[in-house]
Amino acid sequence: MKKMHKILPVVVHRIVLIFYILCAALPIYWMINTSFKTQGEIYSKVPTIFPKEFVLTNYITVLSDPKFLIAIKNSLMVAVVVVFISIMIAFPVAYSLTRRQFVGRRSYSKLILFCYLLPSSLMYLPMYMVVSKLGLVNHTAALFLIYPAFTLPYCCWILMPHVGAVPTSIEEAAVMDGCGKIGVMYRIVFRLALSGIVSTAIFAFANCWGEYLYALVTLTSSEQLTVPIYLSNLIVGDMFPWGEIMAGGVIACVPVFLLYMFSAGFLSGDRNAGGVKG
Amino acid sequence: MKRFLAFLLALVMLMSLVACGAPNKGNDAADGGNKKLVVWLEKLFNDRPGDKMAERMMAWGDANGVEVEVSFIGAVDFANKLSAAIEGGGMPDIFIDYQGRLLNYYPEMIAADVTDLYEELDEAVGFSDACANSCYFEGKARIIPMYSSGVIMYCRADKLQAAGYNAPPTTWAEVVEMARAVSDPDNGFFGLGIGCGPANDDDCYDLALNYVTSNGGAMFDEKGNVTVDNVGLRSWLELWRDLYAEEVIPTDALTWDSSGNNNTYLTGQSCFVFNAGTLGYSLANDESMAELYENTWFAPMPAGTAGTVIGSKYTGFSISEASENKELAMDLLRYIYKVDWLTEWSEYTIPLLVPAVESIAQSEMWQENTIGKANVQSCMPDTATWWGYSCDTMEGMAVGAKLVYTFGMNEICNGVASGEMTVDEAIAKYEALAQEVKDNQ
Repeated sequence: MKKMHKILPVVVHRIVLIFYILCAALPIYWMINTSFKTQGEIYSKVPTIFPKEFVLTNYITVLSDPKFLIAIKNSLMVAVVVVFISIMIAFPVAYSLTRRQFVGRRSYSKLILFCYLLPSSLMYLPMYMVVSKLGLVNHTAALFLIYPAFTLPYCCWILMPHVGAVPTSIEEAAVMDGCGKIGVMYRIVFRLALSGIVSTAIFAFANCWGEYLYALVTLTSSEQLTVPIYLSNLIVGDMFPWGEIMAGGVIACVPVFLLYMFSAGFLSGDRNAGGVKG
Repeated sequence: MKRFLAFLLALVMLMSLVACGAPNKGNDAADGGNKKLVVWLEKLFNDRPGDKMAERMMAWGDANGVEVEVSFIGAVDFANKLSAAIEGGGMPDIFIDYQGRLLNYYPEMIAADVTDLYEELDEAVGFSDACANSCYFEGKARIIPMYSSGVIMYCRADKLQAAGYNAPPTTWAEVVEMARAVSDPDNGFFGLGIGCGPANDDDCYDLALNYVTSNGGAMFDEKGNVTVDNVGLRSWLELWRDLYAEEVIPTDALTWDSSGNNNTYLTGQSCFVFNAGTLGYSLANDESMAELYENTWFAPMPAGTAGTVIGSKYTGFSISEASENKELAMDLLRYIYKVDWLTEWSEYTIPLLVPAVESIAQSEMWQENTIGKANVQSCMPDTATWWGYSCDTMEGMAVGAKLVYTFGMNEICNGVASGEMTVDEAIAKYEALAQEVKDNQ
């Protein structure tokens, strides 16, 4: 009886976890499953959990379209540049707000939170007008200006606690050893907060990679399109080529997946551990 | 170092402010007075006709020293991009347009008056009589018609033949009779695949309008007064109520979006669906659906008690009112509208995009194609309707167009089918909605 009382909560916990994992994983599995099916099987009355006829035609169709490869290139370029700009600006901002005392510091951090919480879709017309005035409509470069408007507040807000977690005594020790303020910020704090910076960069990358609305209104020609717009353009009228859309979606997931894989080493481990005694 | 960085930052901010204050360059005179035309086309069912069109336009551009920038935009995204361009600047010189799109911006008129050009090209190539209904607004042409994608009736030939019917129906009464005869809801097969989900786009309204007008009704009279309470709409709602209760219409039809009728036909769940030729094109070009294609009859829309009075909405080119190169745009369109080239282009669009040029639509190429012929018959009826029919003032047509996108028709069909409303309540509700849209115009 006592054993039951100990085992039951664990079993319930596991069941709930499995349920949530299934809910999260099932759409991804279904996307992959559908990408390997023929259109006929996709539209069969009874959905099939595994493809009856395993085909690669959807992937071949998508990968052999030069517009798709151009879209991948454009999306990669935009995401990498925007993440770089965002981290380069957000980190000093986060450092200033957590380490420096100045007039309006609290108001400024609240303003960042406000910008972070503002729905991005509210600003697409004003943003488009700015881009249009600059003559950047239908240029991928327009997204270098637009996306940081959303990624910067997010990066600042998320980096603040990561920077704040670095003990000030380490900075003081560095200063005592002759390190200047910029040196402390980049040579000490940046490295110790690297796991937070990497996770923030990954989220910012994923947001830029999958962003649709601003890319839609800003970009028009096929040479400038990003991946979400390319996938949307596969839909003609009310005909949805599900196989190709899912194949494109699976391929589009690969860069983000690889980014998580390669960054895993940076995300784990407490870099501050052992840095401060007592 | 600090001073240098501060100076650099100040310089960047100053240059940004200067750039923001600069006027929008617009589409003309980039350098050395070279002209430029920006053209927005809608992405079609495959890339070939679009590529041919772009090639033709750029060939004209090369011959005339004009830079022609052609972009293809998905139909789903076109309205968003156009709205952003109207508000924020950057309207294209030429864009693909149709009546409903234009009317949704009324009273703002985003398309230039091209009446003279329409008459000139009509004389040169011979547009179908049905085109004018889609392209003229209060006596002025705003669209030069290019093609129409009519709605045709898809019929499961194998199921109908098994029930003793050897030809597709020609009237709505026959459709209902046959749909009842072949329905087998216990085995997941339904006679009539029509939907009225909340996000069903304009499909639900268009089909309702076709039925209503073919059965002697109209949502508006010639003066634009709301005439929603008519015999056609009553009959349509009664049809929904009765056939849904009898499970002749699929039970999940109340949740469909615009792809719902495609899905129901492709999954073999419905006998009759009404859809653009894109569905047939998919069937014809996908080997995995060969069996379904072989078992499909493609037929024109059925007639009602008042004959066949259905919408044949032509899509074409509009020149933007904001364009600074209207004459140049007209020259480009003159180059496009040559019968020889249009005939050649039509080879890439058959059987889906019925040409606006009557001689091409009636040619052997179209008449010998099963889907194409049905499509042509649906696009060239003796009497065409439009949103706002039978009123033909801009205001009336705009009210009709805006009424579509209130999805009120979806709501009342949904309500009647599910038993939440009686037919009288549904008509009263729709009448009030139409009046509200009219009053708020």
